[in-house]
Amino acid sequence: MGDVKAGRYAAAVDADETAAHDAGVRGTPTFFLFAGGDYLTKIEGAPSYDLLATALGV
Amino acid sequence: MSLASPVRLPRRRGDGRLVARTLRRVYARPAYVAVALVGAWACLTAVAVARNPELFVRLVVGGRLPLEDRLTVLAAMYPFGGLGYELGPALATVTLAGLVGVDLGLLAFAVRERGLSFGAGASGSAGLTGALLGGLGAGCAVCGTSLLAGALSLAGITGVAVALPFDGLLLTLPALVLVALSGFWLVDGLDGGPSCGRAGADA
Repeated sequence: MGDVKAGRYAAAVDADETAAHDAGVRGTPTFFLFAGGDYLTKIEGAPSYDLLATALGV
Repeated sequence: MSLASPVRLPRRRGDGRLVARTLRRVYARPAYVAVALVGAWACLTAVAVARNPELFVRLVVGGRLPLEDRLTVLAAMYPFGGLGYELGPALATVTLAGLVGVDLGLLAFAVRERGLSFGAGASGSAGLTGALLGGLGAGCAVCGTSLLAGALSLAGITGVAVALPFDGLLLTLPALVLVALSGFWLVDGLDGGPSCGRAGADA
């Protein structure tokens, strides 16, 4: 609690929130899928293995 | 007959029997069962897509996946599919979709068999409004946390939404009540009840 009250990690938390906002992340977990270096899509939620495999074509 | 009140809540002892009797009468006809099923499926799909619009656009509608894989991805987007819905929100979402389907079947019956118009303040109006608001509530429920986070951030409060319980279920529950009430208002109107004026008398 002392660290929270002192704001010791406030900058890091703010940076994480900004990064999430800039990436369009609305909650956790969020997955960004890439295949062959190309961006495929974003998945919000906890995808099953079958969904990931199908989406990635593996 | 004059309108006694704009709407009424199901408080009478016979309201349950009225709803059951009307549902049996309407859904004895396969056409309205079909309307209800299609409506429920459309509502469920809307909720699923609202939760992951980019996944739907990029992989189900667009992209290079074969048809079978597109359907696999789409099926995974539904509650109890492959996206790890919590049990409570999944059950609430499926229930909500079912109620929306029932309402749409009743609405179709009211319009087709009783010739109700949407703008006359009759049961069609109340039910359609309720169904629309309920649908919006369903959509909001799945992304409710983010909407709430946005609203809270406007007020200078961030990070509070993640502490809210039930994964957005609190936003689905009002939608359930609203859709259930809209169904009752439709039934009441079909019966010519006071809440919806002349629905029965106009038939």
